[in-house]
Amino acid sequence: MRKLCLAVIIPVLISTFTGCSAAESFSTIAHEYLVSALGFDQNGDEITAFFETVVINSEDASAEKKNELLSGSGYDIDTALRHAADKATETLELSHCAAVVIGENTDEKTVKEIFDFLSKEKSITLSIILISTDSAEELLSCETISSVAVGYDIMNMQQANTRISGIDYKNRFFELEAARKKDIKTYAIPYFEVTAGEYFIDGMTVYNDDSAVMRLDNQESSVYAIATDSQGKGILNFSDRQIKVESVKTDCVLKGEIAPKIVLKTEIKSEAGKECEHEIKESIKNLFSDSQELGTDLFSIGNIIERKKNDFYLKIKKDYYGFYKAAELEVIVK
Amino acid sequence: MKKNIRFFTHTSVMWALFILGNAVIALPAADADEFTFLGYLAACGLGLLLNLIALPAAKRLFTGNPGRNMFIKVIRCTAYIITAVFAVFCAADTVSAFLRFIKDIVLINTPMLFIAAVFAAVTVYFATRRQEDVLKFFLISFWFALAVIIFFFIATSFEFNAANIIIFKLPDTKRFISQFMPYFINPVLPSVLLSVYDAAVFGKTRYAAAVSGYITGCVLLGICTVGTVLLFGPSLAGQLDYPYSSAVSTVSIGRLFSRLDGFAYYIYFICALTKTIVCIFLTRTCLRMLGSARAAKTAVPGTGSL
Repeated sequence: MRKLCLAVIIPVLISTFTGCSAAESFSTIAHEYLVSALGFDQNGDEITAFFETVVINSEDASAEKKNELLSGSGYDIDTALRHAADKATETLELSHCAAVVIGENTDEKTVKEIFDFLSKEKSITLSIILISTDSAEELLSCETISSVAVGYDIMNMQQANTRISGIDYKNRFFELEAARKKDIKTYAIPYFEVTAGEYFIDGMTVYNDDSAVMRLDNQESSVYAIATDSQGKGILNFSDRQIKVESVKTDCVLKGEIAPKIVLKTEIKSEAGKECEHEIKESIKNLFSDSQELGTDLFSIGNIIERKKNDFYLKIKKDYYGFYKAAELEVIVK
Repeated sequence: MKKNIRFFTHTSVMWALFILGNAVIALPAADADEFTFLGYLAACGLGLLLNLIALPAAKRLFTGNPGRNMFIKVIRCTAYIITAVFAVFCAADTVSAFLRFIKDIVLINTPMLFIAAVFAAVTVYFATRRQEDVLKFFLISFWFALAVIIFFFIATSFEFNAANIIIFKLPDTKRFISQFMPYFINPVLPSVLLSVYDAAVFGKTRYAAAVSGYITGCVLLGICTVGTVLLFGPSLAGQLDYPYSSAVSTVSIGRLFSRLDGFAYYIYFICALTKTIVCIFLTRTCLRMLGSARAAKTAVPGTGSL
């Protein structure tokens, strides 16, 4: 009898602590705004925040799902979000938010505030992805393609793109925040182009110290993925052809003691022959020299030097970008 | 002999759940760095030694006839008081951590008093039952907790970054101590209470069950804590309020199953409940032994002895 009681009590206790959290009460979740994406645009000092919401009507399963884009403005993120949330007539449920869309004109301060907000807001999953676009409002106002909300479409598109191209974007919030905490100032997130109401991934936006500094097209994104060891099995879009790649392994070493040279060694198993080796090598060197002009450690070489040659890193740390701008990069592609 | 064999596994799993306790809720600590795993291993190693010393000491202090020696009686009474106070502190610390979690994440708009009352009612109910029944409850709960911890460790392992922990290099002393202390304070130091539990309930020392349970608990807590550090990196993992449930929330199965944090909530609940029940039982037992007119002659409590 006692065992039977225990066998009943335990599942009941488990059921009270599983499932979606942050629900207010059972009487109000008949209608609820499920936030599928957050968006941020900036015009001068004024920030506009967007909640892309899917209105759920659990009383009538056949009722059409309604999307709404709630917006609010302010001079900081918290104010803008509060003004946007004030327009909601029901509870805003953030636990299934899939994407954060950062508009092109958001400055460094705003991007920092976005990261702070995502850190503080406990109901938002740490797996939320961050993407960039010209206008967050324009992207989130588009018609959905395959799911109920643009936010979920964005997430699905990125996953599909990763499956095909093999690029691991590493743009989930916890990945970006972990890198920022390690003082890695440079990161790249996918860029979504909007044309005639349709949206698709068209390269990446590179941020340095939370400020957008470079835009990479699709080919440069592939090169960036190779150089940062984020490229897996997939199809690279290169010049006028596609290259099927089985695996890529990249390592960065320092050669020499007095005036070390940075050596990027990458091993690519692919169907393409030697001709693409030269092209990849030149592309990596071009990206590197572009980043040197901008003073952006695009391939996070500083972090690699710190791990592998800490004594040397401590010497150059005070003027790291002086070292970086003058550094020579040797690329070996096999 | 049969009873010993029958309750070996029960006691082991109780040790394991106690070690997880409230440590699984908040660890790694805020100032965790790449040497956190080394600090954890060192703390667990020292804890094992402490418990091997505490087990026979608890047996001498909490069982047997103290005789007429006043000095021994005073030592015993002091031990009862210290144990009771420490057990109350551990129970309060655990309850506070768990209730804060429930209020922050699960039942945001529910009054704290209500949540506390429900949890208190459940723990007092179990703490006042026969320990035989409570140990069975621990055993049933443990297997599900074990399955959940192993499943989510494997599920999150694909995202691990090995550079987030350093194993083959030693830090300087100050840094090592800063990584060692959080784990020593909790769960290692409170684990000494379990030596008293063994003596109070079974009237003897059960080394095998204690050591196996301690090691199991340390391994499981290590899986939860180190897994979080490997996934998020030490700085981010230390900054999170509830690192383990945050790690679990990153797992999704297919398109339909995401935000599986609820499974982590179960782990938190069952481990906090176990630790609180054991601490309350120990406090009650120690106070009874202290207050009993016959505490000096016999140390076997009325409830829970097998």
